[in-house]
Amino acid sequence: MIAKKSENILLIILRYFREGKCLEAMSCLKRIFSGKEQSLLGLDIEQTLKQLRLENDSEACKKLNENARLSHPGWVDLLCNLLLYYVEKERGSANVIDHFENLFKNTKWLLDEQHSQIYQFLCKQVVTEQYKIVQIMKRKAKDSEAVKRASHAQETLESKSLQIFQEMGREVNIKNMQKLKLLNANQQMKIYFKGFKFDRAADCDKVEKEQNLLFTSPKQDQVTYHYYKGRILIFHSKFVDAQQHLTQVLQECPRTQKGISCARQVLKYLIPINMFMGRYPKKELIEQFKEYDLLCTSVKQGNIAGLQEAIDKYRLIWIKRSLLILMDQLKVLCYRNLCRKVWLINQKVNKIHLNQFQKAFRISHPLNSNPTISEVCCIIANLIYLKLIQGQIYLNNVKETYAITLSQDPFKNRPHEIQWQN
Amino acid sequence: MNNKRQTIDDAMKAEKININPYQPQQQGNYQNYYGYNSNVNYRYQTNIPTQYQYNQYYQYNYQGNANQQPMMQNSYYRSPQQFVQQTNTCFNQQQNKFQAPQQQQQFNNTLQPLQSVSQQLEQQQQQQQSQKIQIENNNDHQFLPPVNISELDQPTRWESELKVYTHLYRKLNVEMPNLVSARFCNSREVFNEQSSITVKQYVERAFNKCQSDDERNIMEQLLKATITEAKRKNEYTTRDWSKFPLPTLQRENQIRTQFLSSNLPIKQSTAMALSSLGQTSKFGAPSQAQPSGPAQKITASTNMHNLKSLYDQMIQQQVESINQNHMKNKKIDYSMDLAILQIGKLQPNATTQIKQQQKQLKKRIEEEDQIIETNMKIIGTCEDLEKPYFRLTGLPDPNMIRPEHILKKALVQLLDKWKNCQADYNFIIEQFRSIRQDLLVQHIENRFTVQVYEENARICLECGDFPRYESCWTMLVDLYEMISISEGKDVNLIGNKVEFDSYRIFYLTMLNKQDQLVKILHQNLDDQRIKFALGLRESFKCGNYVKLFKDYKESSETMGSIINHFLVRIRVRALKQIVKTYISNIDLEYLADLLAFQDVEQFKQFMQFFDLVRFDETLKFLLIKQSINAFDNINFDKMNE
Repeated sequence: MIAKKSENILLIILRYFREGKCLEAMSCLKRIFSGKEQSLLGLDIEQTLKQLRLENDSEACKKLNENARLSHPGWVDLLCNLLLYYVEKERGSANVIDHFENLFKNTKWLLDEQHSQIYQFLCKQVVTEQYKIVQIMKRKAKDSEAVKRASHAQETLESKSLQIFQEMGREVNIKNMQKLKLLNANQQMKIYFKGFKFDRAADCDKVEKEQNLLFTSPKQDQVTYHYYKGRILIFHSKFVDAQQHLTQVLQECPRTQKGISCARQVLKYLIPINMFMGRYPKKELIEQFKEYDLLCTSVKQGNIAGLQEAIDKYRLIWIKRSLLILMDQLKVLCYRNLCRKVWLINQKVNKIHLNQFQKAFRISHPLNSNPTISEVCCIIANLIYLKLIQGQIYLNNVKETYAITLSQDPFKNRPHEIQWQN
Repeated sequence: MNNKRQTIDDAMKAEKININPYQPQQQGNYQNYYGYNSNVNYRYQTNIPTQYQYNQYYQYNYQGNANQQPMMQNSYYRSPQQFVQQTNTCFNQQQNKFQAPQQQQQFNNTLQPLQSVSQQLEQQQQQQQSQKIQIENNNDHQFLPPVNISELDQPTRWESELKVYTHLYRKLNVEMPNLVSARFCNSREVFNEQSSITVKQYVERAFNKCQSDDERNIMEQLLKATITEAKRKNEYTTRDWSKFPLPTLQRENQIRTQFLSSNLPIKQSTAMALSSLGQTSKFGAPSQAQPSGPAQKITASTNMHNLKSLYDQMIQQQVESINQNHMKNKKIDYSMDLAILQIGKLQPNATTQIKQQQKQLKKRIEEEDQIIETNMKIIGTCEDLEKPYFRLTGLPDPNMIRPEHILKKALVQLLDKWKNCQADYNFIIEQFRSIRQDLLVQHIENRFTVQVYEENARICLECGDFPRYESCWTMLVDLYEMISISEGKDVNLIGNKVEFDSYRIFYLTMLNKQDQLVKILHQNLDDQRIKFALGLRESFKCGNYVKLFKDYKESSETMGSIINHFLVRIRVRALKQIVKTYISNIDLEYLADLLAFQDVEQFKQFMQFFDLVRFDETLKFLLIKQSINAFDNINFDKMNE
């Protein structure tokens, strides 16, 4: 076999492949992708490529070559591509995109029962590798040409990886590998998500087209699907469906370390969504997510100032989680809760003077110390318009009577049931 | 004009020289070549001498003579089936523009069966000299009924037909030149064996390359070798002949090397590429497509020559087709229908080769573009501060382009004019366009470029020209990114990015585009202007119009003008809300104050504009019940008029 001295991780992987030890090979591949194998950079590329391809002149090697080619044709190529890609990536040169494409496009041969694990692993790498490439390219760009390329690298990589997945998807469809279909769709969704193209992400929803797909796919893909689907629905203000999908994730998460981190990720979105359903997190949960503490209590109490403070204090977090847009709707919810309090204090009478609301707003929003009647009118009009309150405003400037007449059960509409898009 | 002979014809002639005894037989079959006669049993093969090895694939060329002759004589009594065939071929002829001279040759050949090669050549020259003689010749032939020549001279006749066909092709999205292979399609109806067709195409392509008789002889031997080899390997039926490489001649090798080494001047490059695109796609006229001499350089002038000759051929061919149509009682409609069917059939296999060639050419063009980009960095010399905008059609002229320091002065002057209201919007935009063009041509991408685009975007926003703003914005995003990478700074510190982001946030809020908004918010963390824009968004979403209009009065100049453009939408939305939630009639003064109108009169005008006047008699109150559904279908297009 190959001499021990020159043995590097690629050759080790190749040997694992040959012996059919996929799991060990995969752990080695993981090390490479995570950037732990810096020793690869020191290799003489041509020499290593020759070694990998078994292009030595000696008779023994030629024999080996024949054998290797016959039994493991894809692995040799895969490792060659991997080496080239790795070296180019660390250099930050423009060729890296081509090598990236090469590496991930030539993986069709992995589409069978034995190798599907490795295939899945590679699929998941596509998205994460993209961002590493862009970062390195930006760091190493020097002349104007390189700068130009680096600035467009994100887009090209995005389209390239989409192409890769579409091609893979076609292959998967041809071979009818039920298990990999959802994985493929999820990865496409992920790419769109990272590029903030939520509408497009909603388009690659394959589950709606194929009903059985969700149940025949492996659990982990199901969970991923529910997570992304839920998040898309948040952007469309469909809170009931979003809540269903996200709770599905929470229920199906395994109680392992990875599963718990997954659950944490979901809870970040589930807590604010549940507030629309009238469910507020318990103390134990809040202790783990301190940023939601003030937010939840303020919304529950109808405390506008507190809500504003919570938004401003953790602004970075909301932006990072793309939840800042949701805060406007939370504010509406907060106003609604405040109005409900006023109604309860007035012992559920049908007619409440607007002065009462004015007072309440003044208390809950100390900064805006003197809200005019018209401002109060506007906010309540919006609530009525959204059907969060059932009632009408009576305004008579001449007689100086401002009142709001309410129906029998004015707050019967739950905040998640109304149409937010208007 | 036409010293290049049609090659298959030539190839046959070359054979004729070799074996004299079979000459008449072949000539009788020439008309058959395009599948003229349907009643001939093509599967039937007479005993063929061994010299005609590849005749097996050229079955149609060597049919029994006996079948042919009576048909020739009885050409006036054709069976209906035959009729159909005829219409087909007629149409194909019309498609095969470049086959026309060939057919004429055939007719001539039948007239004079015992011609030597030299005579034939002479005759060809005669053909080239005058068309009319040819037509007369054709008319003499019994195959064609007499045609009134004066009728042919009228250009309208064939022009109109040409128009019909070109229109048809364009409608079908089929390139005209591809139709050359319609002929093969036609013969497919005759030959059921798929393989024979592809082999036929292959052989024909091979002969198309040849330019002289010597070459043809060599090619014949080469082809024989390849085909016998294929037979020996049992690949004859399975091999993909359309992709199998043609045998190469010595001459070609020479040309290829020379072509690669020769450096074409840049200006001619695109013209050349275009012309060669046209040429290579028409492999029906191959003798023109291939460079005929080793030292030949393709230039624009030769292209023109080629075009002329093509045009002449086209005319000739049209005349032919009219003759044919006469013969068929002008059943054009029927043949057109058939043609449509055929086009559908031939499309896939005919285009593959052309696509490959086009790909190669595209590559070459790209390479040349790169050369232009790298070698030609233009620095302008023009010193005018104001320059009208012209769309560039060729390479830029340095005398017409302003260098950067002049552009800076021009920008300052332009902004002065805009602020002092000395120029109208159209003038300013045109000036900006020319500045941007100059920047683009000189590859200037620095902070000054950012400034130009920012000012342009600002003016567009102030005037509500949102499509132009969008184009400026996409450019700005690229520029910010590029400069931040090259200078190694945070993106937000470049130019006035934060300010423009805040404009964008409000703009996207009004258009209700969530995903882009999230993207912008991701880049911006903490800034007063961003917060202001977000505050506007919040008060819009919460329906707090009092606060919204308060902010509107306090906002900066540009932001104010953006809000101005969406003001109508905001007001209509507010009114819609009010109308649906209030039960008492509302004082107009109160509404005007709420919606930030200057006075009641302005509010009344606003309501009149949208035909929403539902006031009481004293014109003091808005009647709520009457206008409850009035705001559902507001036509905002009215605004733009």
